[in-house]
Amino acid sequence: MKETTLLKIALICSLTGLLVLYFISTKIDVKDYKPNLLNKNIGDDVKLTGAVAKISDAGSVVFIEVSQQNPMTVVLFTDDDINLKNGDDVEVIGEVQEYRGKNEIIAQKIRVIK
Amino acid sequence: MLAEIVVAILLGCLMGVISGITPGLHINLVALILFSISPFLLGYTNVIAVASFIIAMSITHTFTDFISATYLGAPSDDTALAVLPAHRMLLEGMGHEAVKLTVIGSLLCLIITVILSPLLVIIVPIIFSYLKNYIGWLLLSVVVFMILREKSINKKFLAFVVVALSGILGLAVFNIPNLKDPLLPMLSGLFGVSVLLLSLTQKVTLPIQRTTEMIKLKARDTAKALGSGVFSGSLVSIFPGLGPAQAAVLGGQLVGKIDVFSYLILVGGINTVSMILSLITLFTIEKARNGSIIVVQQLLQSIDFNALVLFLAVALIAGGIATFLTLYVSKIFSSIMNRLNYAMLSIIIIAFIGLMVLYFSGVIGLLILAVATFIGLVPNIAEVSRSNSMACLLIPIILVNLL
Repeated sequence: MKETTLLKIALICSLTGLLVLYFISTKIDVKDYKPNLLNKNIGDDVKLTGAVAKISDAGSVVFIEVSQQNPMTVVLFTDDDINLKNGDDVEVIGEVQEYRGKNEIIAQKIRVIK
Repeated sequence: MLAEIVVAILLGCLMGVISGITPGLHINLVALILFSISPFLLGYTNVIAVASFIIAMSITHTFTDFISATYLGAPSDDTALAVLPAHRMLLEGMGHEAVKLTVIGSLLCLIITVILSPLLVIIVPIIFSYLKNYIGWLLLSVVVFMILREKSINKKFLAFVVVALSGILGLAVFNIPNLKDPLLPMLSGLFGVSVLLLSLTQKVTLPIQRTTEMIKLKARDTAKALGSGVFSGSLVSIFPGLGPAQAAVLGGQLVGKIDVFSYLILVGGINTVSMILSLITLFTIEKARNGSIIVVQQLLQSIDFNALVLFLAVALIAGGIATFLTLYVSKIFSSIMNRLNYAMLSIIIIAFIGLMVLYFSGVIGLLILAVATFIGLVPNIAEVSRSNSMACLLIPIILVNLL
């Protein structure tokens, strides 16, 4: 196989990948969570950004209050220590669940963004 | 999002070149470093971009690690079996063409695997359930076949000695407690330093390296090599404990007699296939069989269908870019080789491997390197196939499976 043929195949391979990436990348991002649309989001995977207002550690479960337009409770099940403090700006990715009439987010990932 | 992923792919490809051309650096070691810096990366971008960076880097590494294996004779376990034919081609002035053959294997096997991925998602669990109880016997028959294929009774006995020595070395090395990165000293000794030492003692002079297109591939052998590359690479992702090196032995036996050029295509393809298949097993059975994909799993926990398609697209883009980069870097190496004193280069590489082993595996690693180098000289003295030394990985796995 000639080198130019190989490079042509490589180019087609990359361009095909780029095309697929272009279409799929729009579907991959999780939706930003808007607390004012509360009841429409139950069961959805969402992304929430805001500042940590309060942290209560109850052993293997941690409740984090994230202030946005409305305060929102984020529940994180973990046995590890979490490195969060009040005032941290965080991005939470998780699933919206209803608990005793209120919505909360069961977190899969929390990261500090600032 | 798209821009972040594209930047991550480009950076990953560049890092993959650096990790690939560093002698003896295995992708799992790279994965370990990536895992430790991933919290830092997550501070700047999202988790999908970080995972794309890791996948692009790993795919590129599977292309570029044949550069150090060919020009420097320094193998990792993924490239150990390619070192010998590739290094032999280097000594005939065809180093660049050896690298090109492994790139053909990597790129074409990558494309075939991505095309076949819907089918593989179904077939992989079936093969796994059918073969899982026989993997020990399968590998044992491979070892027996390796010994029996030597021509005379005398050679068969010597091959058995090489298998026994390498197997005992493997068992001893894997039983040393707290030894970090045991494969680095063992494989560098068996397949790297011993080959370089022989070149030194035989006063090998490197001919002018050329970058012609003289090699004509036989279509039948190439097709066999690509098919076997995809099959063997798939086995790596399905069976825990089976590495690319063992799969290469298995793949080499499966296709029967093929020429050395097609063999390089086969060995080149296996690592890339196993990387892609690891993504598929992460999606289907939520199991990661490979260091880099374990880091991706740690970051994402599990991947959905959209993420799988995205990562396969990332792999395609990275594979295309890696082809250009590998051929370009190979040409640079090829022209540098023309100006270098090969004996001096061999000494520098042996010293570099020694330092790497000392850094990653400590003083005990140096001892393993020395013993493995001596055992690595035996196939040459006995004039039997050096791939018999792969028993250092095969025998421990056979025993774990059968006992």
